[in-house]
Amino acid sequence: MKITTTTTPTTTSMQTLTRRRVLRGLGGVALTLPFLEGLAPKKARAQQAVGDGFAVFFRQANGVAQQSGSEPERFFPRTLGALTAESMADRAVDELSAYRSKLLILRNVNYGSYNWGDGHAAGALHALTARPPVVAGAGGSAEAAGESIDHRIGRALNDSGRESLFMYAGRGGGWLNGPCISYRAAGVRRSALHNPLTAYQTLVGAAGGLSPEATERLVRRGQSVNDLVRGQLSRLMGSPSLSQADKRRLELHQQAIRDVEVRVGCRMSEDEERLLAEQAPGFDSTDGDETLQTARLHMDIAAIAIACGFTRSVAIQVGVGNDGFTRYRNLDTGAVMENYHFISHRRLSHGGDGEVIAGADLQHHFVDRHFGRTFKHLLDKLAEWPMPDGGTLLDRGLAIWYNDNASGPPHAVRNVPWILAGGAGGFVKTGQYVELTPGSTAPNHGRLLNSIASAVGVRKDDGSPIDDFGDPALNRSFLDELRA
Amino acid sequence: MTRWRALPLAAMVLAGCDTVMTLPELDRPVSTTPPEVPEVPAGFEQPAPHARAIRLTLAQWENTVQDLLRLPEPTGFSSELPQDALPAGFLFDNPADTLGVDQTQQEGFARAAARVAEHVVTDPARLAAILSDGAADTGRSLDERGASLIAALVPRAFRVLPDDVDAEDIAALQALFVTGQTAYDEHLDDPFVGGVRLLLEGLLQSPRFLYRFELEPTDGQLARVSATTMASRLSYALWNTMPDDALFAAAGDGSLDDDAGLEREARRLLASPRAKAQLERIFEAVLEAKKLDDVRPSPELFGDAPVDLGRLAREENRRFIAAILDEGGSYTDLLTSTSTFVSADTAPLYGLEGAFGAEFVRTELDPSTRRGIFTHLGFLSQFATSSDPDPIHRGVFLAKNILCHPLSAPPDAIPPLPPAEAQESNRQLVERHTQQPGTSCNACHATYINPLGFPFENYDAVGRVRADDRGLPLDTATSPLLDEVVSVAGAVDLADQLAASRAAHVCLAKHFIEASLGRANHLEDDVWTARLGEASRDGDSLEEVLVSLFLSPGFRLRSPVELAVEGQP
Repeated sequence: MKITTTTTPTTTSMQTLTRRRVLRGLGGVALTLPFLEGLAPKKARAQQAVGDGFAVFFRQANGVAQQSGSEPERFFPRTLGALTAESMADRAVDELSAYRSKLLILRNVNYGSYNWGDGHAAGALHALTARPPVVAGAGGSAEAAGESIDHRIGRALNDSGRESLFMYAGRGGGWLNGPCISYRAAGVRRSALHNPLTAYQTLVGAAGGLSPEATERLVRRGQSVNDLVRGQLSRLMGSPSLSQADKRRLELHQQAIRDVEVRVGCRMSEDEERLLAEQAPGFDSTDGDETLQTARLHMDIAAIAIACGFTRSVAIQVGVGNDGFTRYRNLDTGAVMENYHFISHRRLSHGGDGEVIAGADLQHHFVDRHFGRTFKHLLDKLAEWPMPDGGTLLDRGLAIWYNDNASGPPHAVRNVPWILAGGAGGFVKTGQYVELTPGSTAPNHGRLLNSIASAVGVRKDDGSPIDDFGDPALNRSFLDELRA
Repeated sequence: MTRWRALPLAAMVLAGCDTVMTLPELDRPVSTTPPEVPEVPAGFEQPAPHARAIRLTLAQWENTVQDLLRLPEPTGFSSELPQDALPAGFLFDNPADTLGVDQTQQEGFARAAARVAEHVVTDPARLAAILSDGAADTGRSLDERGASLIAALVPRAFRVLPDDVDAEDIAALQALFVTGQTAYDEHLDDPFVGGVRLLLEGLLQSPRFLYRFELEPTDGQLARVSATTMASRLSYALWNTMPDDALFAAAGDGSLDDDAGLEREARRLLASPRAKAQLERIFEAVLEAKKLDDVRPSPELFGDAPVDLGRLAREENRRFIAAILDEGGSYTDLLTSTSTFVSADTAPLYGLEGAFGAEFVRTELDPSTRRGIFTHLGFLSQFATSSDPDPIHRGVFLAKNILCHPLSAPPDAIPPLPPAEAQESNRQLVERHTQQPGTSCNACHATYINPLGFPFENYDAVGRVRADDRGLPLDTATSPLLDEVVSVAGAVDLADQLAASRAAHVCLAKHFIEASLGRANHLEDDVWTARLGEASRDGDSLEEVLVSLFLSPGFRLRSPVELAVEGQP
């Protein structure tokens, strides 16, 4: 039995209905709420909990409004090299200007070239896996043929076998069937935490605040139930009537059973919990404002999850495979625009037909800015945690805003936007706009994923960067352009 | 005694015989030792490989919790469970070979179990509803009361007969009941309640509750599923929940082992509103009705269309399907009925005048322009752009979901439709863009896709009948591939020809099998789906098709062939 505590539980009678509601069901008890750990000095919490590097992947679909055909450049900085106010002005990345010195904006990120049968699958299923499809040409039924990097990083760096966090914002179903970027293995997608409230409950576990006797009882209950479940699973897995596929799923279940953890240090402040309770219900929405607010709540949870040592890897997906349900707001008029997929096609259609949307590239740019602002929220949250060396939590890892595709039409996968923030403890250069593998259009994205994982701490036994992630048919070596 | 043996794949592929295998009459089986069954000749119906640990879907979890604990209404706690990672391309929410329990889900199920247990034991009426007489008898010892509750609750939770509950499971649950007596602060003064609460928490996290296990040994042979497995298969297929008491009784007295008993139970379940609701969900999935939520016609072009057209059309769909089911209708009725449900909001789109109110009412439509569900507002507005009918996606949908034609995905980077030229109709534009001879587009569009979409060119993007196509004469005549290439004059004609086709009815049978068993179609299903499809085409009602499905070897037997293992951990 393992009990993980990051702060000594104390008891208090301070309770609010909202907090009780947020925490209902944790450990099966109506918890006596503790002293508000969220109000404790953050420095103390960070010092106690933070390990080494981490990665947070924030995914946007459908490309960006970059230079394509007759459409002007609206996304990338004007010039390679050091990022300046001038180079970022009026471009979507300008939303991140407050963090200019901490950014590494990449140019010429090229995905592998495979027959996915669909431009969205070629990005959504490939971007974090660097793998081909399981079945070539399967289009909307495609699956990626390998583990995703967020899962790999979590598997390598998280304590006690805790899987990386995978969270999803927006309406489910639809193209590629909702959450689709994170894979446990070839063809095996991971379930996503959709409701931020559920994600938070997953994070805090049994959040403490109980007397030692009550804590002991809580632990005993959890242990008793786990003993029952483990025993049954063991006996069932011995059944000769089960297929290997069945047994694999039961093994996954058995590995998923975790002892009761009391993660007091993972609690939000009272205000944050109240906000979470108020805004979480908008998680299954087609409204762009609600969807991105859900993503922000997920980011709040991601930041605290990293700070308290719950995970060192997070993936946040916004929208289905083609983000075809979500309608974002026009930044000039405030009106709700057509669904994002239509805008990315520049037409009133999920296909190639339909009426042309006037000014769609500018509308796409507005969507890019929405995502930029949302990504900035993540950076803000990570930067709230001071570190002993004078930096912040943000500096210790990599927050990454990436896209499935390069641009709207034609959803190509050459020069796909990837923006890295934080520098991974000085391992990765910052304040720069860099072209990867200059002059080459060959796939380099597998190298990028290996490099990101290496930068945040996944290494070979000898300490050198890994080069074993993604399609082995491609070059997977470290990208020196990233090194500080 | 002979056995049915698994056939080599080649034999199954080549089998084109429509002969129906009638299940032999069997002695009453013992659930742990299925009776031997005779050899199956080549070309006969047989089961396909199938998962043997079948996790409940989130909806099934919700329903099963409600029924197990005899709650008057759903707890709603399933809404807090993490969403399942569903594979792309499978229409239903129950892919048995995919659903499992990872860390996120395990923690979610644990939280939900705790919520349910608290929900039950903190309400005297709810607590009383689950107690057996022995458990409710306060004159008995705690151990006796716990044993009585376990004896009453656990077989139902595990969906087995009482004698089939594993002794080790009973012992572990009894230990849980004892632990619970002192494991909750708030129940220290009533240890029985604490014991019940932890027992419920454990039961609802038990793999034997979260999964349906089908553990009949096959020994490399086809095997008949046990009576309790059959009860669960039937119940989850038709009610999306655990067997009720009558079905458990039928499993216990052996009546599910013969055709008459199984048919009796199938018809009993089918007569329930729960079965209607389940079938509506199946058709909603086949019709991809969720997409109707995204219907937003251009306000400039269709300012008089209801702003919530998608919602209205979805409701119309639901009522129409429910009516077909209530009336004992057939798939042909669904495809060719000239009536639907209309409200004041949708009547103008159908060109109807008269006194319509907010409520939907059954209404006869003009049979010259409307026939079957694909001439209703739902299909027509769902597969349209904001401004125009969308023959490509109408065709793709019909080819894939209604005819089960395996369409390959389009190539990457498809250029969009060019602007229409002067004096060019929507159809001509699509043809110019997709049917250029010698292109890769042409191969699919000219044969499989466009001919199924063009017949609907006489409806606009909100489903109204239109008189012209951008000022040009309408052209709805095409030659789609159904069983073979046929000539159709338009949508009404296509509806009739779909209803007469073998492919549409076989496709329906495939969907029913997929939804009922939670697996994609296999080649082994071909003989089975051919027979069910033929019966449907001959006019069997949807209910009769389902009864026939449940009486089939494919539903009552299990294959010895293991599922392929996808992916590596």
